[in-house]
Amino acid sequence: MDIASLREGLASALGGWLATDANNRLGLTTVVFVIYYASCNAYWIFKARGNSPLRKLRRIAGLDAIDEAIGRCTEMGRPVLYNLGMDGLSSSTFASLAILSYVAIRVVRYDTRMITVTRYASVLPVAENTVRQSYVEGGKPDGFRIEDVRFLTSDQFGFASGILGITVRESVAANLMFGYYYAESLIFAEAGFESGAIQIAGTNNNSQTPFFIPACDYCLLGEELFAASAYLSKDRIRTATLVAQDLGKLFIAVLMGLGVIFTTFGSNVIQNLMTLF
Amino acid sequence: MRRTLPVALTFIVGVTAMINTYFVNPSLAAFCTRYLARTSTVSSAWAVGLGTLNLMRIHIRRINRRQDNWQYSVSLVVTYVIFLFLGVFLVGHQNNHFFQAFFNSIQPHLSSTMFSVLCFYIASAAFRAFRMRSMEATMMLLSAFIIMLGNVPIGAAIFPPMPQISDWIMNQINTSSLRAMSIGLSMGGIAQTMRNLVGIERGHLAAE
Repeated sequence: MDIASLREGLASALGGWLATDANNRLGLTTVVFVIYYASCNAYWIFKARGNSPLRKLRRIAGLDAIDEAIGRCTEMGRPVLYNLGMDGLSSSTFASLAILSYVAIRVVRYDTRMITVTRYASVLPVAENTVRQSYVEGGKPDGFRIEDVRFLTSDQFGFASGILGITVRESVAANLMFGYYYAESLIFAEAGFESGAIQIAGTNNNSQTPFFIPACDYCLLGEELFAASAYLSKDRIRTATLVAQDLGKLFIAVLMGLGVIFTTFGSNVIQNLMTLF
Repeated sequence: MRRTLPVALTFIVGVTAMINTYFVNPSLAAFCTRYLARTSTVSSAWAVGLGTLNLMRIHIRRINRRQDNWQYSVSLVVTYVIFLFLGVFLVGHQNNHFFQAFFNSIQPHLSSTMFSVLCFYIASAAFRAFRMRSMEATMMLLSAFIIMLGNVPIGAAIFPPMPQISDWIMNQINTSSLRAMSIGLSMGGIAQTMRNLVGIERGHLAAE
């Protein structure tokens, strides 16, 4: 049986209840990957609940520097500026919120001021809650200032000019930028550089990473943004999800390797598996 | 309860949306379109109200206390009140000719001004990035030099294969590195979503 007839057979058997995309693909490859990935997560989370050792996380200089940045703000008596990025409640914003939670706890401990800014109003209550929670956990619930968690505007360059103004007027000593950024990323980073702030950035937009690298002191690369919560909290369950993430990447790498080998020898089996189903 | 309920809701809604993506079920699809999408729209509308209150509270307090640069806050509050009045009370609301004319003669120009500032920032950032401080920085400088020359006519005039070398760097080295990063980012995004879905990530939720 060739691949095309196998596909037709599967489509007639599963087509009734499995959704197809615009190209009439069944999305089976994605379903198989989701099952594999969920199984990896379940296995490693189960393992993390016991006492068996998990893999060690390598050092991420940008995340290690967060404490140094907050310490610098404390010494100088100047605020930390925390930028949650340009996205709504997406995975990158949640990754940023996890880092915000860590930073807020440190800020409360050192009695430093932190200004948190968000572009989307829908992120504001979540950000407010994250910072407020850190003040409660730090034993200083009265120290929380609601005006230090700010929604500026949802307009891209209006938001950029707002950040520029805050950076200069408040003369921030640490500029932390984690989340999704667009063309305005360099405006934030250069404003921070000019105000003499220590700058740490991380984005899941690959096209903006090259702007952060020259302008910031530390820059998280690629998925380091998503590894931050596990790295900072040292929580075993979160670390387990990182191990599962690596296994997911291994799956893709093996598939790519097989694709290269098969295609080199004139077979389109892997390519068909990825595109036909 | 203050943590368990949001986590349970996130899980139910997330799994429902996932099932709706992969499987055909007309009643589930109708439920997602009619209720989940509407709930998202309504909660976003409430969030805009909250955001506006936050903005006004900060700036009105700044004006009352005559804090540094309080004049900027006055301009923000006045502009806000004018646009609110025009948008709510004029016939046609935000589609009213006067509202549109007022908005279009202010906002796009301010936005374009901010965007144009970027070219100066790119120049100053490039100046810092392209210094030969290390082996990596030197390699980046050389690559940038080749790619810049490859994209202007004088590059091909000086050395004819320059555009091909530039394309090779962009298509082979740059694209493969970016794709590797993209795969990692996608996996990271899925992992983050999964942590939220099953309630492992709870820092943004209130205490029990």
